[in-house]
Amino acid sequence: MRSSNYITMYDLGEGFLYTTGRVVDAQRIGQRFCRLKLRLGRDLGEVSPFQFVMAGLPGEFEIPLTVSMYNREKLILDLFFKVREYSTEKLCGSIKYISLRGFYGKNRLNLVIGDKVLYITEDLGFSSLPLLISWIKKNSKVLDVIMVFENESEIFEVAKLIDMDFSGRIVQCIRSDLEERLDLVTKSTTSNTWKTILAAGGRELLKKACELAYELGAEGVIAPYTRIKCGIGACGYCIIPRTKYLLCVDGPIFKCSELASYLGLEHGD
Amino acid sequence: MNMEIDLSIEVLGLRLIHPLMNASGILGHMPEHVDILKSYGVSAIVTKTFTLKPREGHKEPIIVELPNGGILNSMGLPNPGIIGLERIIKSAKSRNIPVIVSVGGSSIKEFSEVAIKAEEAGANAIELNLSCPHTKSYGLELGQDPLIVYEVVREVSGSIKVPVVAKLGLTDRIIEIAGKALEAGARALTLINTIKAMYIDIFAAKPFLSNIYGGLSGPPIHPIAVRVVYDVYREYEGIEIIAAGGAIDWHSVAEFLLAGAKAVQLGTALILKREKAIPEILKGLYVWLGELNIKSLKEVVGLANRK
Repeated sequence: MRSSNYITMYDLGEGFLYTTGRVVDAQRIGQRFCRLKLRLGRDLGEVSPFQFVMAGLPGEFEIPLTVSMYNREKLILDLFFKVREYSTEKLCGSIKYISLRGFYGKNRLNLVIGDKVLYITEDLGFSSLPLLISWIKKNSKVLDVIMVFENESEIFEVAKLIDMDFSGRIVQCIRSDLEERLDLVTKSTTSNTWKTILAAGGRELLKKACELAYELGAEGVIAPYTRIKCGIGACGYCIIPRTKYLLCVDGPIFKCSELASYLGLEHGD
Repeated sequence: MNMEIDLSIEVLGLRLIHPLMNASGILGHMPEHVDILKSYGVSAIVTKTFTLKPREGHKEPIIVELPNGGILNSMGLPNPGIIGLERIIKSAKSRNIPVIVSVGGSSIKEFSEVAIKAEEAGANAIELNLSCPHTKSYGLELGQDPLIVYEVVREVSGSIKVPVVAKLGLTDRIIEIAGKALEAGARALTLINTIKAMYIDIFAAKPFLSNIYGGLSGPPIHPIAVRVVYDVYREYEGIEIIAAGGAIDWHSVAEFLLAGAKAVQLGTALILKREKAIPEILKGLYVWLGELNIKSLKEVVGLANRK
């Protein structure tokens, strides 16, 4: 049970919390991305890569955003997201406070991850990179990353998002080059050393990542995107189609085998 | 303890293996939800409220977990409309789980049309949502007027053969409204819906929910719900009541049964404890009945109401 000095949750296992974050810094990165730094009113607990918060402006909007980094001692939360419509424009604007609920997605990464990891990600999945790299460093792992952008104009200097001092490589490419990149990756001399292929993105990218994992004999772990409304497993909108999994409570990550019917994987692994 | 204890119950003409089902709004509008609710161990599935046409519901924020353990929601009755009924009912039927379809409407005609479609699709019973506190023209505004409740229940009961349940909310006239629903042909009452409430973000100095008002559920409303079940059962002894409102553990379920409920719907408990909620409650009820030397759960229904 999580609690703070003036909040008392019933003893209902791991409850959910609400807090307000004061904006410390809002920075545009590249043409399309934004990094927000918030000081929280209370601790939201321990966080694992790919977990998310519901962030918004009271009475106006609320959207799911993956946690980029969280310093529990200083209560500083980093969020990184693509600016694409009214809500994200507003969050990256000159507002003072943001409402936050979370952390959501109880399935923690450290249960399944292997030694050397390839992370393939597009778009929203970039957000998890800082926390993932911090986790990788703490656990003495090696991380290779392929970042897939919609087009060239979206590509940004990755050092603005993450601490580059880690073991591994980062490759940036645009979507139309992905097949070629994956082909190169698969044929590279180091490919057989990956124990885990991790991916975050849309269905097509996840399917490719799972097929690659199968081909290399690695564990496939994926973070899908779905629509999220309530975040707590009540409304059921975050169901992964053709499965019994709710992203906001059973996710945010799954084994490829768990989502085989959603991805249309032939081998189911 | 060697005594055999029977936790089964008969309600709405259905023999249920135990009295616990989900409250409407906890999943229940997509076929995939059936497997999840089955894994939670419900004895019957109550669907999300279906309306004639699809509804998007309110825009986010639509829910907030409160510091006092309550949950405030303002979903706005999102649902796929009657087109989605057949798929979820079929899915539940194929898994041998009874389905109670929650029906909403902004007019008597809409209630009736949706109920007929639900019966045609195979619903075991219809629960009329006459008390949604956060959707204009679709609930509490109807359910607070005894004459409208009477008209809706009479029209729907006369249009279908499966049992009709009237889900009522908290009002000062609950005894009168409950009586009108029963008089009009309701086989049972679900008591109570969430209670109209609001939450203000003190830094934004604004109501948190986009709809301003929401429905409060969870442990904070449980004593209120117990009081309503107790009062209504006392007035109309022997009627079938399905209780809802903050039942979170075996103790709070036992209170509902003693007040007069034959079955209990769970919301917050399923959100927070998921697959653990129902087995824990059933285990507690089993031990409790053993302590009281009572062999069947049926024997405790309304026991606190002995005159």
